[in-house]
Amino acid sequence: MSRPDDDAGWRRLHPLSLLFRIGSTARRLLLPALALLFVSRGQGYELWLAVMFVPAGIASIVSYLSYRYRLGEDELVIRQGIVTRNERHVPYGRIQNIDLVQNLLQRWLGVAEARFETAGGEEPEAVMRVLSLAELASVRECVFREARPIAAGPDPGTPAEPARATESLYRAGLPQLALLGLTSNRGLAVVAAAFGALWQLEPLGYDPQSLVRAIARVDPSRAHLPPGPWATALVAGLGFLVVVLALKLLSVAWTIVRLYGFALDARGADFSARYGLLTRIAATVPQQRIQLLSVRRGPLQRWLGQASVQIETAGRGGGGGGEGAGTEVERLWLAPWIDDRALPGLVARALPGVDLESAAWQPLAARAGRRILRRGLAITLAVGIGPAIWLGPKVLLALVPLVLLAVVHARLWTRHAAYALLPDAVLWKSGWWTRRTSVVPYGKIQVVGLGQTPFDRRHRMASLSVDTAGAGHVGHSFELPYLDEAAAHALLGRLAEETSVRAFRW
Amino acid sequence: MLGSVADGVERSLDPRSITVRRIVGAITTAAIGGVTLIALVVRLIASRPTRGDVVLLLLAWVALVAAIAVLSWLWPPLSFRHAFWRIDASTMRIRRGVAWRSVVSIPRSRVQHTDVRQGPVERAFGLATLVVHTAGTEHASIGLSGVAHETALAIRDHLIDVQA
Repeated sequence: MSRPDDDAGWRRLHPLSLLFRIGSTARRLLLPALALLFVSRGQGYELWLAVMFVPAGIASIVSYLSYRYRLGEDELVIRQGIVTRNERHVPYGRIQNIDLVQNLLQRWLGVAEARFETAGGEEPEAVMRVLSLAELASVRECVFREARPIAAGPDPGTPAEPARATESLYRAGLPQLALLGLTSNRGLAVVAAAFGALWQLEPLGYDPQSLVRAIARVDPSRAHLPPGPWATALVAGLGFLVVVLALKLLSVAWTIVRLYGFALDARGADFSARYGLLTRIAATVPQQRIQLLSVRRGPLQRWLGQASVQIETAGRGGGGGGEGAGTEVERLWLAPWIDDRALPGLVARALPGVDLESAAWQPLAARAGRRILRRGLAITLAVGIGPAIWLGPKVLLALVPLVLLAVVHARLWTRHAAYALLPDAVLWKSGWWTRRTSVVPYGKIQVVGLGQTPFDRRHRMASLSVDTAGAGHVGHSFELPYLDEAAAHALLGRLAEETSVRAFRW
Repeated sequence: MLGSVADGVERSLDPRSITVRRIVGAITTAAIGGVTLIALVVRLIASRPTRGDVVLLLLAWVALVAAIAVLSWLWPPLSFRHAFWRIDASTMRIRRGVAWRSVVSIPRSRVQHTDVRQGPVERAFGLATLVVHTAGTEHASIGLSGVAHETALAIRDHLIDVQA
């Protein structure tokens, strides 16, 4: 800031940033502070609180005052720090997306936190908290106007600019979110988190062990149960059912709170998703930057003719909040719960030129099922052999259902696993209970690999993997096992060819 | 020089890489042997063993070290026989693996940057390791070790040249 022209254009964050910075510091110090307060009980240790809070508060103020940013010609510049000065230049063309996060207080005050994602790394490249909404709109406009020539290159199928009108692609209602919640197991995670939080209260005089003891004190023999193993089994079964039901209800509640009002819009070549009941999130994904698209159908979804659509972008894709940022942005969802009939249209928007219906599915090797079955039986045997030696051969009878399951699994798995080549993308589907279909455009393939275990070689088979810049959050890695050796080699050559003739743009 | 590496012909690694890997294997064997021997001696001193125990443990140690030594002598030529690389107009392909085989195909347009590395033993023999970095997740970096230094440089120049 020594030269006068250097001073121009530098902006500060919204003054309310100070409030949120101090707030987040206070939240981090809250538990230790409370603990200290209770332990000391008026012995003058309150002084220590000041020792903890005052420097933290000063640090917040200093960091607010030292944080400046500038919207340059073609880059975002952020200056930070007093002792160690840090100046970060982020070219607009490298910004994958800008996500907005607003918690309840921020919504009430009309400010938001902005996260700038680039392709590299797990963490956002830059976090601005907080900006006023007007300020944010101008930042956004600036970044994406500059990024446009790179984002929407001469990719086939990208509509000619500038079609800047916002177009609604998908809305999720409450019933859809409730059903999605039913298929998720988030409730378990919520309970685990709550249980963990109980332990945090230990310094406050609460004894978390008491809960464990209370659970252990429940004595089934003292309950007024009709005797006999069947009654016990019935009670145990009912209890299990109640627990499962409660967990599912929690999952539903959690899903609704997180994804309430999920809306997917298209604006030119960008998608934007907005959702959240308490904390509102607005995430932007330029169409060009979708690396992988995955369609997931669980049993309930198949029964109702529905599907979930997830995507992977370069960089984080989702999960893991940034520094001090409490809420993670899930950019995973393109549509959490969509009708099968609306699916092809949405996929065609996300990946122009991809028509899932036109796929000519190629099966795995003919003997794949037998190998899967053999592996299943080997595992079953390995599981059963120990107990059989210990407890006698009768135990092996218990393995019968497992053997049946292995047979059914092998048959259904091979029936539902296949791959297909489209003019612009490669498809792969797998799973029979939860079925997933994933699409990778050739232009987004990074490396193609072929692997053969000794078993593969004996059966003249091979597996093929396709690597993309996505971070694997979708949970359906592009790996095709049990292919015919010759088919796998042909596929490797074909994919390498298709990939190399297309340039990769982030 | 550029035309000579990108001719689509599948090539073996440099035969000197067998020697290099044997030397590295010998060093590793010596390191493992030394550390385990020290641990063994300390343990024996601490526990006042009988003469039979000492002999048995020392024999076990010799057997372990001998096994590692034999393996690190026999393995390099075996893996050499199964390692190939090939570069044509559009892709680089690396094929290797004795029991677990793999082929990795890297389109030239996906190469982000490359490293040419030389360890002390490699340097003594004029060999190098070429590391190709892509934007991928699983195959973010792919190494090709055991090629002549000048070959590694030629491949690097070729990969980077077409990029620009």
